[in-house]
Amino acid sequence: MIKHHPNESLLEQFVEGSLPASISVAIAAHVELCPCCQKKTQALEEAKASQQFSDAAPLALDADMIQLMESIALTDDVDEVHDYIQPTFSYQGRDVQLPRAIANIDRTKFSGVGKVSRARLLLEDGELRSSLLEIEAEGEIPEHTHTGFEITLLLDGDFSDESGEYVPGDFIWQDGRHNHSPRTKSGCLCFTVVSSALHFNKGLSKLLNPIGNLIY
Amino acid sequence: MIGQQQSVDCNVKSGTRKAVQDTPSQALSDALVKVATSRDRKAFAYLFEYFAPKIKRFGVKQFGNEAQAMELVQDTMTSVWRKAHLYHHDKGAATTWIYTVMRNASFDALRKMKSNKEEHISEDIWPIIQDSQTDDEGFKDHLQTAQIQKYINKLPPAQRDIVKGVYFQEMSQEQLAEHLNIPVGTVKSRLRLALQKLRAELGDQA
Amino acid sequence: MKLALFPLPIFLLPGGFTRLRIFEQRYLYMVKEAAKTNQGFVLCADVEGAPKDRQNEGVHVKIVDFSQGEDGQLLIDVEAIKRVSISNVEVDHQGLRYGECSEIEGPPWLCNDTAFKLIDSTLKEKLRNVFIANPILDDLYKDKRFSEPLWVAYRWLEILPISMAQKLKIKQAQTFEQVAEFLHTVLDEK
Repeated sequence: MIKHHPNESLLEQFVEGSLPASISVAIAAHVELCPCCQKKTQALEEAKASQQFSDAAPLALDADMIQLMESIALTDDVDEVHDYIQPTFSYQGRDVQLPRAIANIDRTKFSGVGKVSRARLLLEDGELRSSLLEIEAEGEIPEHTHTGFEITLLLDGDFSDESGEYVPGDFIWQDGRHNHSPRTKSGCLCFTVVSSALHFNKGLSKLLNPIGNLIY
Repeated sequence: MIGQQQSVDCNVKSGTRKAVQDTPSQALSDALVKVATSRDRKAFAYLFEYFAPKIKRFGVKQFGNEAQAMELVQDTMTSVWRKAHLYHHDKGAATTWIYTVMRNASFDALRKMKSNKEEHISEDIWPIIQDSQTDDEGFKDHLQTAQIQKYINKLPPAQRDIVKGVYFQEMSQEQLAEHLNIPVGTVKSRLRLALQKLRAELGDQA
Repeated sequence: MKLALFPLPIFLLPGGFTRLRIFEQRYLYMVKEAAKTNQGFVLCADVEGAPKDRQNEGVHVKIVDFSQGEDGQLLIDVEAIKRVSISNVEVDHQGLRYGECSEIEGPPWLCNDTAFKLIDSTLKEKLRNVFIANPILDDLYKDKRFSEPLWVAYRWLEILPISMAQKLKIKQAQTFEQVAEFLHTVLDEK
């Protein structure tokens, strides 16, 4: 069972669309894997919607608005939809389905040394870098600390560090205070987001701080 | 190990959802369904009057200027008009659906301001309906080809040709030029000429 | 004959070979079935979006080889056997489409010996050189039939760098002369 989730404040900012893209992708992927967080985000969307849209009285539209409305409804065309085809991703002889938000973003080829290899997502996002990380059986990432922060979302396989074992879907957030050396017994695939270690921007850290009062 | 942004439980709090009395939920939902099923312009006008000023207010707060707020109104309400058929009233209120459409448009707009990129990754982060994605390109069921093409276009030209050679069996204009020992410009004009001649012969039929 | 449809915007005519990368579940299933029954499947540009009044055309292919890509994905080499028209398209539970396929006989154009003679040694030699310069292509074609004018024209149309739409237009030409003329305009020394 998934034990590690994004906290309330992160989820709320996710629902508002106010988080950077890489972090939004990580949370979207977790939400896709976690039924409980799906319910939570739905509830948050409802709450946000009534916050924005509850005052009933329609305001009078000015000329610009009326013109805009008419231009939108000029044609009867609709946007077609088709079934989303989830591509299969193969690694270490295993077939897995990547969460949609991750699968649909272009990425580089895997490259790396020893048992660890990385494919970077081609997502411009300031100083955040996101990648798919593949570790072969018995592989280990040397102990490291983060001056910024690091999100690890386990997608497949097993993974553990000093604090315990993780299952696919677990959302792990670490910042500079943590020391860790993750390892895997039978191989694993993770999605990671790291802030570039040297320039941790104050604005961003402020953005990520919990804002306390939630609408609940 | 508990990072400050991470929590070890996931409790859905219940009983906190208050019905907001002021919102004409049923009427809004009916109007959205009418837009979807009968392209009803009156129903759309009703939705527009209700939502557009509120979206603009949200946009001004978000972007700090009126022009971009109006763009958000345009993007959101265009999606409402063109994607109304993706709304299912049994899955939630019209206000919630339109909120998510607005949130997506605003997210893409903010990304565009920051990275100057025209992209719509919000669709992948928050699919408007599960299991489906919007298809603007017209060709269906070729996700893999689209992705391979996108990938190929990013490769350096030399590699691109090899990949094309394998998967598409097609030469590039550069390869053909090299092969025929003539400049690429000449290849282009010959191809154009050959196609023109053919079109002239086929007349309207082609 | 009921055959599975593999939608791919690729231009391939009888006698043509191509390598395909297969990774979606339903198409892996399709390949497995095709290998078992030895019936092959059909490559077609688009079966769903096509106008109703136009008959859908595809090309019936058979699998001739299997291999694995660097990333472990399945690669199959297929040979185009014949052009087919597709009707009564059905979709199964996994989203795999099947269609009733009947052979479209003969080449797409009116042919005669005079027209065939237009495929001269220049066009043949240049094509031979393309194969020599491209080992992957060369490898894919076990059997190269440079003496057959249609085969030469088909291969040129497949590899020329023009869009799919343009290729389809050329296929709609009436006579083989028009096609040969087209090739000469592009490939002749001036």
